[in-house]
Amino acid sequence: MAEWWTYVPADVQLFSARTYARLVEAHNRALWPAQWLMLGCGAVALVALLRRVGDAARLLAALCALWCLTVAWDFLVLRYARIHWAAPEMALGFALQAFLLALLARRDAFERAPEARPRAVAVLLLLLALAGLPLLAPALSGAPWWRAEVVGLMPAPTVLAMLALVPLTSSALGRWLLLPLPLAWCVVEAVTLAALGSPAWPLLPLAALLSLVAGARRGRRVARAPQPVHPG
Amino acid sequence: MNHPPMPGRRRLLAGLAAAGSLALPATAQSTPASLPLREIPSSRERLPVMGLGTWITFNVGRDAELREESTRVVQAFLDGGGRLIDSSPMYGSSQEVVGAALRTLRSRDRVFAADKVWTGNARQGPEQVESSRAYWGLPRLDLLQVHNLLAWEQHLPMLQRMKAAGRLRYVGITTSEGRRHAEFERVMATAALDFAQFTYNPVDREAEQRLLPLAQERGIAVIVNRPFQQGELLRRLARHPVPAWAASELGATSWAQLVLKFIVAHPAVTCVIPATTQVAHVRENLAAATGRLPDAALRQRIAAQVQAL
Repeated sequence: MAEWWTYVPADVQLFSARTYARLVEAHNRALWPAQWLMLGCGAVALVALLRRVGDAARLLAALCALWCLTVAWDFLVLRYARIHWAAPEMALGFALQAFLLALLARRDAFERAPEARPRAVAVLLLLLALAGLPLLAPALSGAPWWRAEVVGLMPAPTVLAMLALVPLTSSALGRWLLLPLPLAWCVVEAVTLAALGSPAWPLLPLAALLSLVAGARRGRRVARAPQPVHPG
Repeated sequence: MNHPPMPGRRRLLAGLAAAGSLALPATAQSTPASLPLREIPSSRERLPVMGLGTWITFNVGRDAELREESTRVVQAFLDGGGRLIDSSPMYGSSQEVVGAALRTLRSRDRVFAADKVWTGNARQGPEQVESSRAYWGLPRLDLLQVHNLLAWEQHLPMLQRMKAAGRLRYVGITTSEGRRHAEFERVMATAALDFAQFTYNPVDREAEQRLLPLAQERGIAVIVNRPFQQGELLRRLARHPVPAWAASELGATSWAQLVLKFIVAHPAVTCVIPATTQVAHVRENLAAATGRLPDAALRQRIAAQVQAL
């Protein structure tokens, strides 16, 4: 993009706030009552995290992998692609993320007993994904409930759930593998919302920052921990 | 390029318009109003000075209600004497929505179809052009422009070949918001172009320095995009009353009309393409082209007034 610095969010906007809101509504109506299934699965992962179940993060990773696939196909390919020409590439990104998440879940790349602080950040981000974001549109603007963005059906809450996983990963490699897509989507979402004039645009970037800080702190602590001494 | 939220008078107009167009009768029988015409220098064909843009406003996907709304906008535009509708493969579903509206209204023969080629891959150009034509549902497009000069060195020869073969009537280039004006000017000065499309309004006046005079000198028709800065200009102006002299001296009753009159009064401008989702705004825009247009002194007055707010 030549002279990219001259572009503002509105220059790359393809649709109006009204068109997008109606698209979300149509998507929710078409998939009803899958919202309850998605939220129910997320609630199970949240309770597992709160009760310090050893496989809680692994369960969340597996769920996120499934959610990435449903978002990629049901929302990005079947619906968003009607108003955004880059939706197929976005869907490909979510499908790839599903593969990475499944891989990390299979290899058990997560802490079984995370420390209090990373666990608290993960719980907060997952709560935002399950309840905060779905409540945001109806509560802030009085929009109908059909316009609520639900995890597993829409990209933003699904990305929030993925960000919740970052502080729970046990290896730096796992963290870096998990991050590119959520970070890229945070930028896409923020630019889109800013162009649509939504005051909620900083929400995802702030959540990403929180996740990054919590993940980096955990990484430093692991690096500083004394290494086991091998006898002989 | 949307208008800002409607004050009372506009709401009334919109209500009346909606009431009058709840059904969508085919408009083949209705007689279009007459709009002032401007000559395309390369062919001497005359084109109504008010066009219709489709960026954002027509990208409604498969939403049946919004598609019907778009159809009503096209109907009001054609019935009001408009002809040129501008779109691009970059505008999501806009081409498809325009094509569906023309099919519903059985008005394909009344439109001047202006579209664009927008791909960095020269080999994809012909395929994209054919896809655009199919969306419009026309035997051929009237005008194809290289969108934002993207790969123009490769696309322009392809478009010229299409024109020579009779598969296209006019060739052009586009830019917006003052970007790449130096390169744009170079292409205008050297390539065989029928049309050039760029941004011009009482605030964005850079085109007055080089592009508009060059278009006159080279015999290139000018399409003006983003007349309202994507609606931002009108939202800003809406906080202030329209000056009394706008109505008494020009018959302009809104800021939108005053801005459009400023643009079309420039002798190098062939057509301006405001975009809207509302029939009342289409009619208001079309009305701006009729009646008195500002002379040089009044244009300066409009620019000074708009820039001061």
